[in-house]
Amino acid sequence: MKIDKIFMDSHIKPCDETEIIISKSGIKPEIVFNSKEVFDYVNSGDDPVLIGKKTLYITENHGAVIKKCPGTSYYTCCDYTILHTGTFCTMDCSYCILQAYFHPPVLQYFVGQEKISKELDNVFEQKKIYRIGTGEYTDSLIWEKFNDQPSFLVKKFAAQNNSILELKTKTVNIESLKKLDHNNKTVIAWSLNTPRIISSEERSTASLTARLEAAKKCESWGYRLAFHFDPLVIYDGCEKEYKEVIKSIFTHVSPESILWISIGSFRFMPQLKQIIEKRFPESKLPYGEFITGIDNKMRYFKPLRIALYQEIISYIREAAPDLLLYFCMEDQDAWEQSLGFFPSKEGELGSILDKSAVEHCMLDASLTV
Amino acid sequence: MHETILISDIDLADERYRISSDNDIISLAQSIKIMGLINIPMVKTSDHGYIVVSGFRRIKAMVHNGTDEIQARVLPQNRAGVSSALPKFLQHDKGSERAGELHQAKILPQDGQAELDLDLEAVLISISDNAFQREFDTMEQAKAVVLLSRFISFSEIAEKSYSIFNAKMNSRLVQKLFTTGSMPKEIHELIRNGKLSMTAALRLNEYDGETMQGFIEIFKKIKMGLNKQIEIITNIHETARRDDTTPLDLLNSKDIKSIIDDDNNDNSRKGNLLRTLIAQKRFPNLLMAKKRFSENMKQLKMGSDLKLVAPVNFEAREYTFSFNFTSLEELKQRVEKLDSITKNPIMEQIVS
Repeated sequence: MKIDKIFMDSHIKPCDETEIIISKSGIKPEIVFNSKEVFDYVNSGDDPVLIGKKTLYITENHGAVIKKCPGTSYYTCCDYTILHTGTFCTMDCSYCILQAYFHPPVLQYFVGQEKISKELDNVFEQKKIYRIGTGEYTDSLIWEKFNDQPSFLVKKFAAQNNSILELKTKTVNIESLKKLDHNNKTVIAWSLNTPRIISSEERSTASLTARLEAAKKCESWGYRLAFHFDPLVIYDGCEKEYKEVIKSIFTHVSPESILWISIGSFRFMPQLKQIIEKRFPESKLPYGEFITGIDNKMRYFKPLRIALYQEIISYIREAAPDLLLYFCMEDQDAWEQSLGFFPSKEGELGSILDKSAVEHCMLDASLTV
Repeated sequence: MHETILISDIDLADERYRISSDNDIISLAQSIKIMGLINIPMVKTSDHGYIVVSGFRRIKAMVHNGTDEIQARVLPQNRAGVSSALPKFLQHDKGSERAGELHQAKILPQDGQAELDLDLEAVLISISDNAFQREFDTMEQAKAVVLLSRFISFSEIAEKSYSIFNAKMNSRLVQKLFTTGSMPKEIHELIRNGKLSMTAALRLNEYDGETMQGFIEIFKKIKMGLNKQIEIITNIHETARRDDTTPLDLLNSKDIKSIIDDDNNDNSRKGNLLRTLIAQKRFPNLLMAKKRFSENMKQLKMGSDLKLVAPVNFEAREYTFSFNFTSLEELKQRVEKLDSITKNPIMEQIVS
């Protein structure tokens, strides 16, 4: 989706970081003294979500730059750490929770590599392992074509040994990562789905083949990879189609390059349903067999999601028996019945992932618990 | 101007200004016989005599009592310069220019009716005359909004609602009332009779006439509350979307029809059967699991002393047992029973 309007916070001093975005977009920014002006502009149309995707607000992060993933109650979280570099996304996925999460949703780019650098230095001094990602509130690589944010982060992480950076994306914006000395500290991760779901529910994203081709390139540049089957969508024949996706992964990249694969089924805050119905009238996504989960999010009826997990895991295991698989926000039944074990202790899943990160990304092994 | 006019000169079939839903005139006729007519009706001169502006029931009650003549306030036929007769709040008001300029309009034909001339002053009188004597029901509000909307905007109606309706309304409610008032008469009847809520009616407005008729058949024959109506409409809609069919095809399916048309079941049972059937179509696996659980419960033969509750939607992992007792002896009995249940293979099936 093309950005057609740029607002710039009056407090932001023009610098290389902002100038390059502005010059590459070819749009003269409107200076605003109050973010309300931006929110009012986004809220002025019938589809604020769409306007929010085309409206860039260059501002600074007034909150925490580094924070814990909020997770949710009852379901097991991987204890990820979020590097908050911006919000929202130029792609348009029907199921995207950010549509309902921000009020209103605005594409924000947080200026301040110095601030990020400083915050990261604090993290790098800690005596523990961190898995840090930028893909929680935005896509990690949407700015790759505009400025050097991804390469700045890759270089920054390359010079330490207690943290990995996971860049999670649905784009194929990887060219600037090619010649970087990443020192194995960056993992490039793709969110994957079946071609049917990508074409019907993930507007303006790269195709499955393009994503896997990009993964193959990153593998050839020595990067570690990760994949996220999240959200899995249940529909007639989905098992067969997910099997094809899995086959396709391993025809493109080697299992040894993959740090982990996460799995999670579609779940959503109830208010997202209306947004999907309004913005994606052709989508059948809201009409699955959902129940209200313990965290008050809608989830597929448990036996249905476990049945799909079992299929998907058996396909992956067939191709890559030793690959680390984990669930994003699932309960004991799903873990035990699909993966055969449950990381029941507080922080146990995080520890498992940390160990894998240490092993594959040459982190300081003495820091693992 | 008060005049005595012949009731036979009034066209009682012309209900263009009628707001009240109530057709029962017997008690009113009785009251008029004893007390006389306290508030006199208002009529308007027409080409062939008079039409009623306000007081339909009073005039019909007088007819019922065998009266030939009636005292009425008579409004002249559509006059020029009528705005001077309008209430002040609708004159020269910056926000209600339409009202100042437009005091004549036509009511849109509905259900085969001819287009009828309307006069704003008469509309206002008919609404206020009723509204300041009693509370309007939903359909009365809807009818009033439809009439007013011929002259002033929804936001203006909302703004002036306290003066016109003796009640505060916001623009959203006015819009909803207008939509409801513009729906088919059968929907109005159902709302009037308490068989359909306005919320459910508005959901039906999303459908074509035939589909709407399908839902009307259900709510006409099976009385149920708002939440259950919305549940049925939502589940039919979502099942149809999921299965690439239409709500009408689902409504016309044999299993649904047979429940609606079965005269051997009472209203409440029919409602439950229908809701269960439609829920089964929408949530087949969840409903199957619930059914299996309840069959297993029956096989456990726990009686009424013990109660086993499954996790909500089988999402959490905790089941709950509960029992009451009044003495140590009873407690021992319950514990013994509980113990025997834990050894029953059915119990293992339930929790596995």
